[in-house]
Amino acid sequence: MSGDPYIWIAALLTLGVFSFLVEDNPVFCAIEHLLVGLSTGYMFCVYWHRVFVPELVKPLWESPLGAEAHLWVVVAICLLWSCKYIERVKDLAKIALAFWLAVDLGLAIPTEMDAGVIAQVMGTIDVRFDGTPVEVVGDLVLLFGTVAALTYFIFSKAHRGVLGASAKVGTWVIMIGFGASFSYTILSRIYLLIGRVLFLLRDWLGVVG
Amino acid sequence: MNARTLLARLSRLDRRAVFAAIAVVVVLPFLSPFELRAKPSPETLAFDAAVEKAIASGKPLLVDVDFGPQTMAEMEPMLLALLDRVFAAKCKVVFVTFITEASSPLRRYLEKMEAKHGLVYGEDYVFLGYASAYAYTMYGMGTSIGAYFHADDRGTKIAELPLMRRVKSLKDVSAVVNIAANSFPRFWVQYGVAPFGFDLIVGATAVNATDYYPYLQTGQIKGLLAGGRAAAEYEGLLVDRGILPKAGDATRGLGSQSLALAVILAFIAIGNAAYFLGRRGGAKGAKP
Repeated sequence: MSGDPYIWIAALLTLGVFSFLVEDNPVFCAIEHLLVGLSTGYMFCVYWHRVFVPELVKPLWESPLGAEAHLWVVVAICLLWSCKYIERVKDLAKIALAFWLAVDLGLAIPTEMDAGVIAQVMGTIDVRFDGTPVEVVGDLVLLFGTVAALTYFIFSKAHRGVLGASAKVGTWVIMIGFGASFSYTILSRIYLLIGRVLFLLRDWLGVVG
Repeated sequence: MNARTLLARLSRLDRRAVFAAIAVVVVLPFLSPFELRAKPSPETLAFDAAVEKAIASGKPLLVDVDFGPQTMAEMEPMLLALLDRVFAAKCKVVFVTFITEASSPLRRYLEKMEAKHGLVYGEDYVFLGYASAYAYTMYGMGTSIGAYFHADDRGTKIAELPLMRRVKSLKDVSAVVNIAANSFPRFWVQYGVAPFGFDLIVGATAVNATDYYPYLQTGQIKGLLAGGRAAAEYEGLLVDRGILPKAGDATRGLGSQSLALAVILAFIAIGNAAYFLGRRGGAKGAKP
């Protein structure tokens, strides 16, 4: 059994979290609050020491009108954001919001068109007819499955006839997708449990090597 | 008691009994001497091939680590296996993270690697530290890393680090490896691969893996480790090649994972059988 007090704290907190499986209890609630408090405090410290002070305060403090003078624009935007908490000038925050949206969308739209739309459409319609039979069938399933799933989301026309049949196939495709996603989720959660169990058995109790 | 009554009773089983069953089957394999091995999937083989290609190029590698303690059980083995592989090959590596919780564990892993492989900080590897505003930073690193990172995680100026004199932008790295428990591989595709066209190699939690298969199919991602099982597959590949002396924690968890999944499947089968038999039997049957 470990003699390290930090291992003991971690082990007891782990058991405290597992106690929720029996039923909700004050120990679990206390650990939940501890986790939220620790995470927020840790995040604040990292932001403060890694971003706010070295990237904004320090350059402006050392040379207010030097090479990093453009950071005053950042300060101005931050101040405009803060205006939303003051009733009389809260509309000024919209300027900061507009700036943020413009930069974000300006960057996101062209890159997403390239990476998410054009490349994915090209990948979907690119059936390798010169490939092995398995590859050809796989590519055709991908192509028709994608089209069927998309037709399910056409709500401006009644799902009857060809559209109805395609939408029905699309529903199946979507369900299979959800099933794959859910099974991967179970795999992930099992591994998290395995990690804690291994920690308890090896690092705390020392019963496995 | 006939089969239908038994199934009906089982379908009303206290959920705590299910938890207890899972706990037992997860613990038992750790106490047994048997160790399972996983056959590598095509995605894992692609990951391995992409890493080997990056190493063979002789250029430094950029590794972005985006997981915290919550997903350590799944992500830690794949990161440690990767680090052992690249450092054993004397590959230079630049590390970065875009989530606050990753810095601390990553420092710990790098300290261990430094001792194990005799690495020199600044020459063999550099940790740039945490960077906020991931989208802008990923995009900006394509043209200039120095413009987005003035100092590394230890506070040393980027220009003073020998390795960073060779790595001015993402054009100077052989590939970007993103070991992430969030959606950042998707953002690397969007803000890195699309505009700058480098090789992206991904290690992800199983939960997120399904989101990345479309990018793997189009070649926007060159290789994918999908969760703990894939980490075990990669460990197996490295053990077979003599890079790792023995398999790590991902492989150790395979037995527990297999048994736990078998029990979950059994419970799903029992629950469904009881439900359908109950429906056929009318009001007396079990209800979901």
